[in-house]
Amino acid sequence: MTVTRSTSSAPPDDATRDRDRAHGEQSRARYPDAVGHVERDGVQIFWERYGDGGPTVLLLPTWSIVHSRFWKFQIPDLARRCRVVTFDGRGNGRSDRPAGAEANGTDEFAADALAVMDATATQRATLVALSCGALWGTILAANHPERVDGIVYIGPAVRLAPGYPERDMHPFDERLDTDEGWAKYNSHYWKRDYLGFLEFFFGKCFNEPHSTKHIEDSIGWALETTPETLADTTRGIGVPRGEDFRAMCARVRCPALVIHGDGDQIRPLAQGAALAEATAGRLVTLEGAGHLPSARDPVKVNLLLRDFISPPPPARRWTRAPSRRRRALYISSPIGLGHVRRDLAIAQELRRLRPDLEIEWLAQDPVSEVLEAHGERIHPSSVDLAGESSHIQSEAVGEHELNVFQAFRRMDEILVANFMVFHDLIRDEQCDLWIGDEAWELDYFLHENPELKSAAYVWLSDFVGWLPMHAGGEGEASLTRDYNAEMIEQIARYPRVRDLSLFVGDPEDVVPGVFGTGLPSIREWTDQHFAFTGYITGFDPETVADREALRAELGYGEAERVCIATVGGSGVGEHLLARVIASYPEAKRLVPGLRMIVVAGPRIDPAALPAADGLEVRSYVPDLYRHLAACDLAIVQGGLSTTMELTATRRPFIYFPLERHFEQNLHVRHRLERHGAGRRMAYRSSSPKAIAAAIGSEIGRQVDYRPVATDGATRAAELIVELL
Amino acid sequence: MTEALRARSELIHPASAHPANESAHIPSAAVGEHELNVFDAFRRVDEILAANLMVFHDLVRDEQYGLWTGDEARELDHYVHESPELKTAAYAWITDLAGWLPMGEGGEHEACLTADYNAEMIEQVARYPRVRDRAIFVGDREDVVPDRFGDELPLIPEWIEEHFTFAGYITGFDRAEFSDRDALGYRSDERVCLVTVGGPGVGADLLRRVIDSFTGANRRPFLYFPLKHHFEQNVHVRHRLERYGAGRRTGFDAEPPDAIAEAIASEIGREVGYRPVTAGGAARAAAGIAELLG
Repeated sequence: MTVTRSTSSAPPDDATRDRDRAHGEQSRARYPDAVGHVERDGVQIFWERYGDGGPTVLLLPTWSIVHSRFWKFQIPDLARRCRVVTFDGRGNGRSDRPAGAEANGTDEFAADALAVMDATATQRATLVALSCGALWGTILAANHPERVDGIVYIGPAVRLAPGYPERDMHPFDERLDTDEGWAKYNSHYWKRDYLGFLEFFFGKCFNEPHSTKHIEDSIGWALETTPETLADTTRGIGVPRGEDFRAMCARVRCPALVIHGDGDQIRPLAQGAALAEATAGRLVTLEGAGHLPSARDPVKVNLLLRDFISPPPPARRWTRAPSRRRRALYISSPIGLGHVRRDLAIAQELRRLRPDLEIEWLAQDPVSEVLEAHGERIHPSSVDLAGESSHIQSEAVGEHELNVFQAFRRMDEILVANFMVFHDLIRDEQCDLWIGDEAWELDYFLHENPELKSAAYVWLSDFVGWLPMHAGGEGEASLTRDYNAEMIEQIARYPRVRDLSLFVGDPEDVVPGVFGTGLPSIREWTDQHFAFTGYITGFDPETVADREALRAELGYGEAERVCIATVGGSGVGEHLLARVIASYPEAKRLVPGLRMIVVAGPRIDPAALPAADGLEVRSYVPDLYRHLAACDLAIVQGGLSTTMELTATRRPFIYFPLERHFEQNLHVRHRLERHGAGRRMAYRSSSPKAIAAAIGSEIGRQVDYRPVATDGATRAAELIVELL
Repeated sequence: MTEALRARSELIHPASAHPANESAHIPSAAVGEHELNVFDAFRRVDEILAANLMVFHDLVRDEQYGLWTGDEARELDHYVHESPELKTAAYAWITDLAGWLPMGEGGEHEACLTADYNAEMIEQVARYPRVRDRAIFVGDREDVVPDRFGDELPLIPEWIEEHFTFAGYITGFDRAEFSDRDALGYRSDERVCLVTVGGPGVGADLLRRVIDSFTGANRRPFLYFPLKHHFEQNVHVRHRLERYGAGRRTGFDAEPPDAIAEAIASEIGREVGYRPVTAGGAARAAAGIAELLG
């Protein structure tokens, strides 16, 4: 007799975060609203529920080589309009790993699904089944029609048509005399070289170019189980059932949709086509796609899922084209606060040139707060955006260290979620122009889905090229090359997507070197594809030109020698501030009249910093750039905005690039060196004493920096308005 | 059109089976003898244009194209400007005609209507410049009529210069391929007079009249009979032909059969001094369009 017990809890964000972190997981785009376990015959099955309105979608487990995290690109999007339930299949994730084939049979997975539906009070749901999930999905749809509204199959693994012969020729449990190709799909090989199998298998799953992150994720999830357990679940799939599968398909009465890539190297398209026929469903062929389009083509798959589960209602209004006001949607990257000032300056210039232009912002904290303070209009959809800034924060693990390239890669699900928010906005409202200041999600997924481009689009960036850090070794060099190659290919293939690419700087600010082995020179390519605005500080240098008046206004005495240490809006700088504070006593001894002000910023608790006699610690300082323009020395990270503000206002400064941060260490450094600005120090090798000595030699120094352009925002706006 | 394309082994999209038949409509609008108010006829194809745009819409919704090229595809041009959010590919507009123009006999009413149509088009292009990624005029600058789009509207040549690139004329064939008369089956001692009305079915009356006067002739000068009330033939084409010094324009009503016979006799075999038609128009147009494909 089956015994079912269930437990649940909410809201579990912290528990989920802790568990994710322990498994090296990235921060999620959305966290569950409830989680729990349901126990069947002593086997615990872990489930999650997201959202609580609209129809329920049950995202089924597939083969236990992965667990429910493989739905990460679907969950945040679906949960905005549906109630989403998912669970880890037995054998992986937070579910138990019962031994033996029988305990891992397809009927058990189907029964687990029903138990999860019961535990989450889900009377009916639309099922989404990936690959092997088609087996238990079909059992549910055929045998429990009262619980199933519809079923979507993605790359279904069903033997309604022949599989690939090279895959079927090697018996799973026999010792083979080869490890070549599909011979790796063998229980004995798995025990010898599980990772070798995973690399082979997921390479086949993601045969589309530039799939490194998807492969890494999948291998990571597969490593949460063991080859022995995985072998049991593999044998479980082969446990014979009483009824012929085709006959069962014929009993599926609910609407069915089959999504299958014609480049699927795990399961041929013919199997999906046969399933569509057997269930009287509709087949959508994704040409060029592999086995897991839910991950590799998430935007298209999400749109198909939504249309099937809960088609969007018509937009509430449509404006006749001749009556439309000219509207621009400005998407400003929230990673760091640096861009918002320049974006505001560009917006202001755009309005000056085109007074009839309405500008709305799709922005999140901390950018949206600054925009609101400037009276800008934040589009209401902004509340749906997943937090990019907090993600980057979560990626800072070491002291004064942030591998920003990896942090970006690990933001993939957030980028998909936020692109879907953007998609809905522009589907329902018509804009003339989208301006994306390092709006990566927009740029990437428009190139991946160019049919979604329905307005003029301007891309803005202050750096071109992912660059490897030496510490990352060959692995990182090969990854950055791959990311660059994908971007170069996107732009070559779909030149119409970007109507204008603006580089915030001069051609000489672009780093020398190539995008990677065999790829073009970054400068030459950027010259060909970008227009250059000159640097944009976002403030009028005239307003800070009278330094004496400024110092008087801000309360800095003539005899005082003011040193400001700040890490801007970033929460990553606590260690740097602490070390600067440690240098204070020695610096005070070296510099008579030294007044040191440490600005903790919005994300660092000033109380968490060490105290020192005579040292001032402030949390947030409005218009910090004015203080920086008035100081005698600034100590900062290697971020572009602050260092270039200091360059523009001709202040001496010491900068500490975050370690492993390619942008700060390579792009920004290159630009600063070109301007002859700043003294670079390495956090790792700079003792408090060394910092104090640097303060002593730099403070109040006369500088001869290359002047910074003051008309960048105007130049940018002039180029942009041509599109209107 | 589809037959000609099939004959050249071009791929015809299956959705082409849907479009309501535009060319069948035009003759149905020709009421008098050798007469077609083509502006009015265009206005009266509005429902056909809307129906065909929906066919186009469904096609581009379900299939992805990098480029739409519309050779006087007026349904596409008009409705994509009216619903610019439907533009999901690069789009090249091709035309040899710049501006609706009134015929004198249409009076003020027609002048008012053509100006209104021109004004709408000008407003569309001004408001949504991103719709047409390329606008290609099949011809040279000088082929554009030196008129205004209407009272208080811009001068046509200036506006075209600003919004179009010029491909030069595109005959669609290589003259060298047709230099051998013998290959076409004409004997050197024959004087061949070819009478044709081209594609649309409007010219049957003209054809009958010419056949009545047919005498038999030989070479490449030509007589042309613009359709009455047809602003394109009477204004745009005439302007272009006069610039080339080509052809003898003949009024349909004014010419009894024997007058046509006399004209044939005086023109046939005449040495002509036409301005040469520039070669390479198709290549220029294609080069401009190909840039959109990256």
